[in-house]
Amino acid sequence: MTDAAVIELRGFAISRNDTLLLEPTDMVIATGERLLITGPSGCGKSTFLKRLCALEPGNEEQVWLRGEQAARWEMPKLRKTMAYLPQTPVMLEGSVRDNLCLGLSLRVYKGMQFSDDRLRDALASVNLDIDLESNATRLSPGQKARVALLQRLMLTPDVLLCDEPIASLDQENAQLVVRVLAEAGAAGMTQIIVSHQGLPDLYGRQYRLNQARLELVE
Amino acid sequence: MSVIEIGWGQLLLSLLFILLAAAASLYYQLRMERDLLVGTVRTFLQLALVGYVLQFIFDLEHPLLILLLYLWMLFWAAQAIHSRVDESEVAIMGPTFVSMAVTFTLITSMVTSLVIQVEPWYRPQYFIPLGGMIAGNAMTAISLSLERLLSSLRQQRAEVELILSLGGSWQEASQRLRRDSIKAGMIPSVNAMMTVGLVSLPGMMSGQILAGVDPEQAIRYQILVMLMLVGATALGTLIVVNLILRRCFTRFDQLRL
Repeated sequence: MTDAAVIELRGFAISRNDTLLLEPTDMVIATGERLLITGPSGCGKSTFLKRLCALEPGNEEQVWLRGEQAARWEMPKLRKTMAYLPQTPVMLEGSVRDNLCLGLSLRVYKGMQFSDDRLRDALASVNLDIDLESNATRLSPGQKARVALLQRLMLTPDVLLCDEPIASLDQENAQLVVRVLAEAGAAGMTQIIVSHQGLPDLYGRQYRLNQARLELVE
Repeated sequence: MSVIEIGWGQLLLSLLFILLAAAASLYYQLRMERDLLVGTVRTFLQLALVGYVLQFIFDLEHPLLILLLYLWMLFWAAQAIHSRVDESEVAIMGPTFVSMAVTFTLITSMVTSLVIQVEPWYRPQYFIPLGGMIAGNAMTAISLSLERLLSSLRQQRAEVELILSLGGSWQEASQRLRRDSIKAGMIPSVNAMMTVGLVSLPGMMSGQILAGVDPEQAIRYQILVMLMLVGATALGTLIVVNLILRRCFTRFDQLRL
């Protein structure tokens, strides 16, 4: 394992209800790498991401993060390092500010703070013209998706696991999100992005999840 | 003040009330005659039986017998919660039994030994009826909070996983659910304090007054009962929610349900 490897999978397999979703797979992902995984819906792409960050049980002993087996990590620290962005954005009851700052109330981010200026800049960077006080649960799906993305990006995880980041967005906003992800990637954030439609302008390795195998797309 | 004793003959007269209900049932074809009959017979039999058992225990005043009755009540309370909260994925029997046992024992013994200062503290005349009220109310509170906890864990799965995915521990992810569930169990007993005496007289107080107790004494007992029930529902829900919540998450902070 090289120093630059951030994630290593050893015999990583997924089965659920007696169906094999992924055959035992070995993979090394280097720091700053951006990976795209495509495949038909329902093939287990989302499950793959959730198992990587141990949100779903079953693979804690097959993932190594920074050279340490996931099972040996404290889970809050593991998920702070490797954040997961679900396909359907979830907004808690409260303002946009409350939701952007949700992570700050957690122990692992103790001491971290965002000024309102910083929050407004972040909203502007994804073309969101909304007030920090507005009710987050009343936003449109496209707006929620962008708030959810910022919610994680602002916590600057080392690795971002992104589940269908542009599926609910129109073309203009999709391009915006792709650009923001690319910028974060250029700044050194490792990304594993799952998308059934593929992602334009993505550099990095691309895999296709097909018949329980991750096939490298050349 | 003296009590007029009711003889069995007088009691039979009260069957007139049942006949009235039965007549209504026949006239309006409510088809409740059977239930009325069974219910009446069961009321007579069950209460007569309990009366004899209580008389027996009161006469003997043997700690072992009281212990037996205590375990009997405990078992049925836990059983009732278990059948009411239908849960297959999380084992709830152990935690409900523990929370019932701790609440029942602690609150009842505090009331008899500390507040009323009965000698000995387990004297059945006090321990059994007070314990019965505590067990009954704790039972309702525990099942209310459990139902709330398990249903909201399932409904709000996305919110819980959101906080976990951001790096929250299972405690942080379930903080709000914990609060809501404990509250759900406590609210009825707290609300009861608000309306007591305004709408209806509590059964125990009415009973004591009928039995010839000075109303002022009856009121003091009722106040004690209201307060001890708040303590019992708080303690019972607190214990059960905390015990169950831990079981809903794996050691890797994953939602088990």
